[in-house]
Amino acid sequence: MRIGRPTLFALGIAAVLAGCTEDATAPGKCPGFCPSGQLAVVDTILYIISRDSSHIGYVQADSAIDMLAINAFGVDSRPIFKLGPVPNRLAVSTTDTTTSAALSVDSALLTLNIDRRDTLATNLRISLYRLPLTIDSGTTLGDLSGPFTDSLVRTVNVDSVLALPGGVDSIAGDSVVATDTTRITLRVVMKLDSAQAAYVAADSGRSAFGIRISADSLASVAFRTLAGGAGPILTWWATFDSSGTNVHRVIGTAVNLFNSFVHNVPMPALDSNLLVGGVPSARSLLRFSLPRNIRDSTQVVRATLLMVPITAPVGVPSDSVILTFARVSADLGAKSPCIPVGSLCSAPGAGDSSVVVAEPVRMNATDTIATDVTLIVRAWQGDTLGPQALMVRQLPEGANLISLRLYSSRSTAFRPALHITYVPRYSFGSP
Amino acid sequence: MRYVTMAALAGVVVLARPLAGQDSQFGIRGLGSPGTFMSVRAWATGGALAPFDGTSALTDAALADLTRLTASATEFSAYRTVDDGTNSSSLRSSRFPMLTVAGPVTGRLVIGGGFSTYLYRSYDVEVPGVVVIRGVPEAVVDHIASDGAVTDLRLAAAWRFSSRLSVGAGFHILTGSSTLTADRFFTDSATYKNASQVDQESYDGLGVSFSLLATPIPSLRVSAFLRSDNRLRAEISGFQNAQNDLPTTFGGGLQWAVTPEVKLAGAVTHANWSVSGPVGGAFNTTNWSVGGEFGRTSFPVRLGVRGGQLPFGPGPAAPTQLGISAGTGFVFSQGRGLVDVGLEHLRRSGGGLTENGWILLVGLTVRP
Repeated sequence: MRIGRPTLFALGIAAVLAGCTEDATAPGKCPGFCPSGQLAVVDTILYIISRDSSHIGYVQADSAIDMLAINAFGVDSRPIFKLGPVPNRLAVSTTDTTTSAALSVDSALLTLNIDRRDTLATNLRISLYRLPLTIDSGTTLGDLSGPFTDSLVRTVNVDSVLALPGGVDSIAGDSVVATDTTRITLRVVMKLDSAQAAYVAADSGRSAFGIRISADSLASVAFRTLAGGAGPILTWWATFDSSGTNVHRVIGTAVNLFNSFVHNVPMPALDSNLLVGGVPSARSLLRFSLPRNIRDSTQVVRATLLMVPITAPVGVPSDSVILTFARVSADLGAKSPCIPVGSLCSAPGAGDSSVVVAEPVRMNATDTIATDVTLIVRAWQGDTLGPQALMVRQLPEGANLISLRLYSSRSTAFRPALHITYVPRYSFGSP
Repeated sequence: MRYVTMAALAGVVVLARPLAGQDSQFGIRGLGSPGTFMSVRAWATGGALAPFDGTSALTDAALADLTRLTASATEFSAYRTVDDGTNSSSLRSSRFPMLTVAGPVTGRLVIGGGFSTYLYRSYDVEVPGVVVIRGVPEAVVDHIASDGAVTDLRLAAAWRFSSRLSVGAGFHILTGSSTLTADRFFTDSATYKNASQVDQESYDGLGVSFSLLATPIPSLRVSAFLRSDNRLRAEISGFQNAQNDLPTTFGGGLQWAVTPEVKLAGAVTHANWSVSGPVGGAFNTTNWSVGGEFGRTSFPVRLGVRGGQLPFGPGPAAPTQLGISAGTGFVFSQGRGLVDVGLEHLRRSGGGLTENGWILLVGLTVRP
């Protein structure tokens, strides 16, 4: 069998085509068979934060996503809220739109949503107080000392009801249901009888309540507010005459008109240090000045922002302090907008840690807060026109009475620093 | 027969494993790996026929042999293994190193031009290591690569004084670019972000060449050539990165047509590459080749051997190379088209490193 010329050419061309791929990677035998330059890593701590400042008054108690109920560590905080009007008339018949007045208002169900609590707290009790309808954002704990003394509506032991089958107290009519698998968030429904609910026709059923909690220990609970998407609601029940027969119907659900919390924690005061968190909330603006040789000619592989607390945050473990560090799109001081423009400098984006990062702060400890801001620094390298500034705030803002005081650039020993690791520009060798 | 062909094709495709080529580890520390300026026909004879081949770019005087417009292109795939005594790697690459176009203007004047690779500058090196950052050892892998070449754009002319003497001259513009990459990968990628730098390096330089081709007796041809290049300047982002002198190259060749179907040839080339780099890193090179072309023009058999030195490498002496080649050609369309194929085994060694491999060559020549 003879292999002819066509075969030979086909073989050659096929072999060449088969090799039309690149695979040029080989282990380097240095220095003889490696490029003359070498990649290096530089690690340094830069004190490049200056003109850092704090500002207060961003989120007030009445616009926070949580109402704080605390009765521990000398802190006394009590949620207060106002519920809207409900008419006492109803179209009883399904075929007749004529409304008729309620014969009597029998009861109401108050629904509260617990957003945060310490699961180690035992015998957690919620005491509901009736408050005057005049409560507003200016109301203080002292203003309500009277109602909180003599206007107790009723008390529910949350742990006891939660322990019942289905979380339902069939006698009292209360229920406590866990709304997530961690059993931290709860929906508490308190039944109020006609006397406790006290429908006042002259006020169209408007009502206001306050909450005080107690527990064996760690009594700290955050109730979700209207701003948080699940404020308190009150469902009214009444008896109507339906063609000579008394029927029991829901006449309406009173929505949450106002919510806040009053407390005995003094408003944090600004000084030469940095202040973050508290109520009303404070933010700090850190201004960086990245050296141009690092900004323009290196690749940052790791950057850690170091900040030292002056005092340890004190509270129950569930009152964890989380700081967020958000890039600002323009340095306007206290009014600096965050990226993206219009955002509230709030929660970290979906995986976009080049815009905002979060760092938890350990309770009862003054450890240095080390926050990885690598992607933020890299973003500054890519956007040389943008301000190199971070807005530091607490998450959630205005819903934590713990404020954190940190050393500022005015403190020589403990001023904020940027621990940065970078790869200098590689100098390709000859030609 | 058909099944044998198909089986052989399949076998070649499957067995075409990474093994050597013109890209070379020996060029990493220097300017690169010099090109050959040879057509597939000349390459298959080890380069011995290159001084007498008008489709090669080695000498300009050889253009005088072209009696009609001729365009020729060369493509090769190189498979090589690199063995440094500790690690062995299989690499492969494909290149399109040369294109020439030439044709007679008058009965005595032939002009031509084209491009060929002057220096191959492609490599890709991985270097693992450990660096201590923030007091903790971190495993890293550095990855430094270059992908590109210095290209020789040639404009040449040859003048045939008589049937026994031709002279040629050429003007060369060196140009080209490489994409340079430097990466550092951290094994702990959750803590450290990888660093990556990419630059584009461009080259420029100039050269002139002169050559003559003499036929003292009908069966014997003699070639002599000289080329001088000024310097190679490299720029990154508009800023000069390096400037290196380039060598003067000279050489000669002898071709003996024993019979019309047996041609034997030999050639020697010397280049003072030592001007291009520091002492101990760049060496003058002398390369030789011996080969022949046998059989009918329509289906010749070509054999050749070449050897010599490479200009760059570590250690006190220049790395050496030795290649053994073979090939053939296939004429079609009444001689207007020619496909050449070749195969070369090349071994390079020096400084404790050895490269072994195969180069598969395909050339296409068109004479409309």
